[in-house]
Amino acid sequence: MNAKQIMKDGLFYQNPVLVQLLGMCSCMAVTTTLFNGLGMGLSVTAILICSNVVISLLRRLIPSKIRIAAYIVIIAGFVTMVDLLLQAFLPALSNSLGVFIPLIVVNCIILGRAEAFASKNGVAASALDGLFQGLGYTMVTVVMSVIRELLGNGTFGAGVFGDGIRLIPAGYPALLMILPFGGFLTLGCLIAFSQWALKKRQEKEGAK
Amino acid sequence: MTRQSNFRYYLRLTLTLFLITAIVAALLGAVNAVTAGRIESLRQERTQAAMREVLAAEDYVPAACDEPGVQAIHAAMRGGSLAGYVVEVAPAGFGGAISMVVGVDLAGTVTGVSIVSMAETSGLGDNAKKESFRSQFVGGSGQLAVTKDGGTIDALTGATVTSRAVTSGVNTAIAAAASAREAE
Repeated sequence: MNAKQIMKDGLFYQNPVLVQLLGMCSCMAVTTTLFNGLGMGLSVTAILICSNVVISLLRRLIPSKIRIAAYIVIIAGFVTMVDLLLQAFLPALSNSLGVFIPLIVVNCIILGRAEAFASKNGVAASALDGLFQGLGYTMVTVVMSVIRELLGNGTFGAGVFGDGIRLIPAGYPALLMILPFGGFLTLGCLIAFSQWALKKRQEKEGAK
Repeated sequence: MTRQSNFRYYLRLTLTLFLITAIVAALLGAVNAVTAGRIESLRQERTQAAMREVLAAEDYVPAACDEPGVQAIHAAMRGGSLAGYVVEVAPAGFGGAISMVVGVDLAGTVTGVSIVSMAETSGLGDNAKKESFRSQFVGGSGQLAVTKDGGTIDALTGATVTSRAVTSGVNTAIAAAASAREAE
């Protein structure tokens, strides 16, 4: 098990959103304020760790013919638990994320990691993979939230620090950044930037 | 594969999946048992707080109503006499139903509007929660409309659909309160 490699893969080289292009729907839908982006990222991370651990534990017991069905049942179970717990103990977050929490069930990151990693690796490695893939996702949702909130609403950290710190006076921010359109634009720019950065690094290593 | 082993194989598939499903269901039941009470009491608290906010009273008595679009209507009792009605409505907004309560006094005038829950676009439509938007309805009666439709309500920037939905919810509530008053 190579913990360092798992970390680097999750955050950068195999970042679920920027490189694997998984989970983009939720990434665009909820990243309108820092509170939403952070809350969604951490919820996905928690579910990813749990489902990876359980699926890794059961990997020898689940026959391959029914593995997808079994994974989905396990994932849906964890998502529903998180949904209920958020509703009971963090109602503010649950209200603002609304339907996107239950929709984590169909977020391809979770099933993708179950199939590509947890079903082939040990428990500890799978837990680490879940943690860092989740943090990789959280990183993207947080960056997107900060950009969209600043350009679209003119604030930073709405929900986390009250109504947020106003950096651009009301009336000036470009409203469209909050709309789905702004989500596509932001994500496109982020993916392009990460591809550029990864390629540059590759060239550097190739030159050595 | 012989018939016997084929049968065993499928039995194993079925039983494994059944077992996983059963365990997950049991765990979900446990989590639900822990959280259900809290979720329900939070929901009631929110509705109660919203009702007190739109029309302060000591007691809210559920009343019958068959107006279309009305979720529930409560007679607000103050000092033993009727003070007005609190109407729960859920007009369709941009991101699904907007669950809100509207207070209407005996003269048919809006005393307050409060949003209980909604899934409107964060940063645009969800500004409907703000006091500055909601307070425009206070004192209104009859049919209200946003300025774009020739009314007096200033719509939220970039959220005309939400503004229209809230306005139509208030109109429904005013109508419901009027018909409940007649029925008394």
